[in-house]
Amino acid sequence: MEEIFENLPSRKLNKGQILIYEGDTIRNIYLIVSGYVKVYSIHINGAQRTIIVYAPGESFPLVSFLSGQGIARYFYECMVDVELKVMPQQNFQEKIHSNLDLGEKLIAYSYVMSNQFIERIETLSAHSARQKVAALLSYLAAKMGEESSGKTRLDLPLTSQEIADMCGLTRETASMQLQRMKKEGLISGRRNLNIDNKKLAKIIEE
Amino acid sequence: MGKDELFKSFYNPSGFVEMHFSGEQTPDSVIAAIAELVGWSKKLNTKKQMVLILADITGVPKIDISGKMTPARRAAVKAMTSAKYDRIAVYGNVAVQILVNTLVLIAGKRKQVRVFSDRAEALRWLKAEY
Repeated sequence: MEEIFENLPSRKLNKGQILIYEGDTIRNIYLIVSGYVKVYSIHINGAQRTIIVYAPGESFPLVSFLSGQGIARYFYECMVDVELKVMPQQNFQEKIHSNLDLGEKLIAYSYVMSNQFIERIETLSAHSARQKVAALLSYLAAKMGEESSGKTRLDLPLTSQEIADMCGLTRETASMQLQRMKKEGLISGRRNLNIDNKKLAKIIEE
Repeated sequence: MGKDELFKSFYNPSGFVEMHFSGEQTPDSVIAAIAELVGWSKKLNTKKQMVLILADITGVPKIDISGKMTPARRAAVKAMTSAKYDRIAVYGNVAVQILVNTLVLIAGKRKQVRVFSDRAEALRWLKAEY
């Protein structure tokens, strides 16, 4: 993905800045250089429901752009200070034109991201609170974890409210589950969590 | 559609060609379907009729993104750029929309080929006045 954005200058954005609002026309394609961008919808009760998180090296909103929807279906917000590259969608379109090799890569990438969306939406709707938190930790570990001697440290500092938003739970329920997991030795640390991979795999199999 | 048929096409009296895809497609089935589309285009052009195509891909359960399908995707881009047609409307799930739209961008045919999530939307655009 980086090669498409080669030679473009990068921009720095602050934590909390919203890049795309739901319903916005897709005018740009973004590549994350550093930091994380969360993708969320607003639930019927007004609560945020974070669906996925984009990490460095990832690009968005490609699924909405390539599916031809033309508008964003979610909000895209910086979770931390973010550095990214921006390409107007018209330029992006010109890069794809007559380039089947690039098109194939984009199809494969969008397919993976689209499946991540589907898996996360299924997780949000189908499991118990404990399963939801465990599934989220597994997703984050795969996406932004640094593994060492059976444990994975998350690169992203998270508050219990952010974890709650990513699980579709209230903050109180998410905190309770996290406390329980800490007592069990499944997680440790404060905001940058350390995860015990074996214990997490056991819960997911339950 | 027969049990082993992966696609079928016919002329809808409403003024367009319908193509229906069903089951997991192979490179051969896609290339054969494209050849059939090109055949329809030639036939309708000879009769000086508008070439409107409606492709239903809702019956395809899974999109194969592997390199095995690259020849089929290349054939699709070639057909989009070389065949003579007025409009092609495709409808299917999100994976299909991504695949077809990307091929449309490669072919540079955004005005003539559009992808939709359902038949009604696809038909509305296909049969809209120019």
